[in-house]
Amino acid sequence: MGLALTRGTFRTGKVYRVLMVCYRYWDPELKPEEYSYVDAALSKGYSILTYDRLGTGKSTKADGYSEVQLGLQVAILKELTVLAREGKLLASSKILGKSPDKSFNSYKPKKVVHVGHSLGSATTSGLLSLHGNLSDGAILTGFLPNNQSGKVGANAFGFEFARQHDPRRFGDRPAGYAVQASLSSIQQIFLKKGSFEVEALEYAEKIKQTGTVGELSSALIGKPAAEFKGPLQVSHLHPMRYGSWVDKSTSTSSARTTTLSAMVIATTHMTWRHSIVSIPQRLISVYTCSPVQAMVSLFRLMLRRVMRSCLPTWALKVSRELHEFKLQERVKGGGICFSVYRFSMF
Amino acid sequence: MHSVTRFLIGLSALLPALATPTGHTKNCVQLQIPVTASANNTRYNSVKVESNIDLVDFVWDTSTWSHANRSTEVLPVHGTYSISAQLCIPANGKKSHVLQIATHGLGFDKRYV
Repeated sequence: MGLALTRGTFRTGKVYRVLMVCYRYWDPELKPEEYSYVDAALSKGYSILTYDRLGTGKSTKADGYSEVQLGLQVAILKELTVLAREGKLLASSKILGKSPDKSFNSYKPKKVVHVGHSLGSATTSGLLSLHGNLSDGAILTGFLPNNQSGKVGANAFGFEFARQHDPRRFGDRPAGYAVQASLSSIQQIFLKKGSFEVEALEYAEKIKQTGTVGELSSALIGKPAAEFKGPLQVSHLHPMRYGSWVDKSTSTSSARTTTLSAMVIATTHMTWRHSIVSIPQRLISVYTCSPVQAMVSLFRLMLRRVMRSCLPTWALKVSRELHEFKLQERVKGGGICFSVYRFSMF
Repeated sequence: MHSVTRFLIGLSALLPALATPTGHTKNCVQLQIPVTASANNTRYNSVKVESNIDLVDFVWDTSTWSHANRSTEVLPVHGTYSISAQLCIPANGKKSHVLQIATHGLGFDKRYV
């Protein structure tokens, strides 16, 4: 979806914000070369496991009140991680479609990095809190733990009862399952005009899935992650329309850091990314921690925009490579280094 | 242009879309994993949600102050659940020993976030 600069405002003593929309998927059929995080991870040489959380896709549609809650989602992520670490994913599964090559059967990772988005970040955060020793590093995107978290709640999604909304698609969903009602309700919470392609909105509607009353009622698992000793990166990637939301004094940089630091007390390296600028195939972070850093960020951003319009392709490529290198430097820690471009939103 | 030719051209334009399921050219395997898990969930005593009208009422309830007084009684749950997953390992990845495990957000599945 490309670059979308919205605004940049200085506030005395406040953080500078350049809120960008970045819209990426784990593994869509729509323009995978552009949108697929799985493709990007593979192209960089990393292995990746994606799964349908309980109650979605081709996973069990368990009880929408008592079972499909954050606690059980965390427990399932834990069990998947254990299976993966022990090299037992394939041995314990039914393989659908064509059998993979032999390397899959003997695959046992040396490091496991957890990547989450939104409720998936809440799930990942819960894993770090309860079973932190199972993760070597984590990236939480679309995640802003603070005392304003009620601001974007169930009422922002435009939900209907899944089975009634579309019996053809969601006839298998029991009581307590909700789904976003329309293209417009998806746009309202996820997308800002001018920063997305209509095809992507239509694709999102086509593949939309359900959430449950239990999930919408769940609170974050705020227990300190004493056993998690890897690097952590937190990206807050709310759409621009939440500018006013993240500007609230209660969600200043210090409040966020305090809230999350209390949870990940043993992390070796914590990075904040409040803003993301996307360029084709790459995302560039703009750090917004202090006025000085903000000025540097703004300067870099302007420079980059000038470069994009004036410089030849090879120069842009050098710039991108350089930046990616820096990005990787930032998240290096605990013996692992992974590239963190192409984030998802919500 | 002849209508049949146009039809064929149109069809050929559609074919790539039809022939590209998830993981089409990637070194991936689709799995259905039985996962046995236990957790301490919460007994929320939320309103019954079996229609659009119920759901709007629930959303209203959960989005307002009246929700603050809800139950937080622990509800132990245990079960075996079938989880759909996709594992991809790059064919010649120098870092393939690093496994990322990605968890998607609300309202979508593993294709989206």
